[in-house]
Amino acid sequence: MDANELLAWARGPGFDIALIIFVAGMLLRLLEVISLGKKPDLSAPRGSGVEGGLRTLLARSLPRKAVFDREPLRIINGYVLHLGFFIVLFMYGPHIALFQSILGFGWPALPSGVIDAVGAITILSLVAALVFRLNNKVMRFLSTGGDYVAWAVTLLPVLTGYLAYNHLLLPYTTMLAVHLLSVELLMVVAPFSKLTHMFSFAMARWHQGYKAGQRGVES
Amino acid sequence: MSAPSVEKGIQFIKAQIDAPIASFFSACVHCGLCAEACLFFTETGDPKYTPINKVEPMRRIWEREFTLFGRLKSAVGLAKPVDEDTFAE
Repeated sequence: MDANELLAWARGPGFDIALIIFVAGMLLRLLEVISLGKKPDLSAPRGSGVEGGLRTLLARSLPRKAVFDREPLRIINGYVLHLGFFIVLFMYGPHIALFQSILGFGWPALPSGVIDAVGAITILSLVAALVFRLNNKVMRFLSTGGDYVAWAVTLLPVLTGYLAYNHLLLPYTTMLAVHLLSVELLMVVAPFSKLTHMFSFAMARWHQGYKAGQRGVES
Repeated sequence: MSAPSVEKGIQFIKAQIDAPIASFFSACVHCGLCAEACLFFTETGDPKYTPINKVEPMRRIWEREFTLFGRLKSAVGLAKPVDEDTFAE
């Protein structure tokens, strides 16, 4: 199989298989959680659960001051990592063209020079995330193999995208194929790892906020 | 602790698991920041007091009882069991 054939497979059947696993797997994981349901709360509500849920959904995007003061670098790096990943994924012209072919609509892209720089920052931020994980005793204690797998499959698409864009390491066509394959790996692993948090974070915040809202306490 | 009381403990924990609790487990990325909000950790510096670690037996029960992947894992013997040692800790 030469580079062109590999690229054709990664763009065609490979992508379709990965997309099906990603969507079906994520739906399964989310339904597994939702289907457990909630026991009836017999106490009289003191406030609005819906209001609390919606408030927490947004408010948890900001750190608590007391925790931020203790771990500012890890929290800032978390923002850089997530924002960087979103920008390169959703604001790069060729990516938007792919989304358009699936969704039927697109949106304006950022200049590719900006994406290149943000990609580099995201890679550094992911490396920093690993260094934090290895050096912080709580994180090292909590970390499982799954945490490192999730880290690797997140780094690979960003790294190979950066290398492909800058024509580094491998011939462009080969690197582009490797980039697509690494994205497909991410899509296949995501539903079966902690990367489910890309969707389940919303449920977790909603439930936490809902409970606090009903109790009439801050969350 | 006897085997029946371990089983009782497991059943008690299992009965507590609902959608909110499962959503918390499925959204956890092991960032470890909950440790910084827990005075047992901040006072002792011992990572075993990290809040998410304190509910690890519950997470394991959730995984093996209520997730397809967890059931497969325990069926092939890959899941870490919840036993007397777990509760002793």
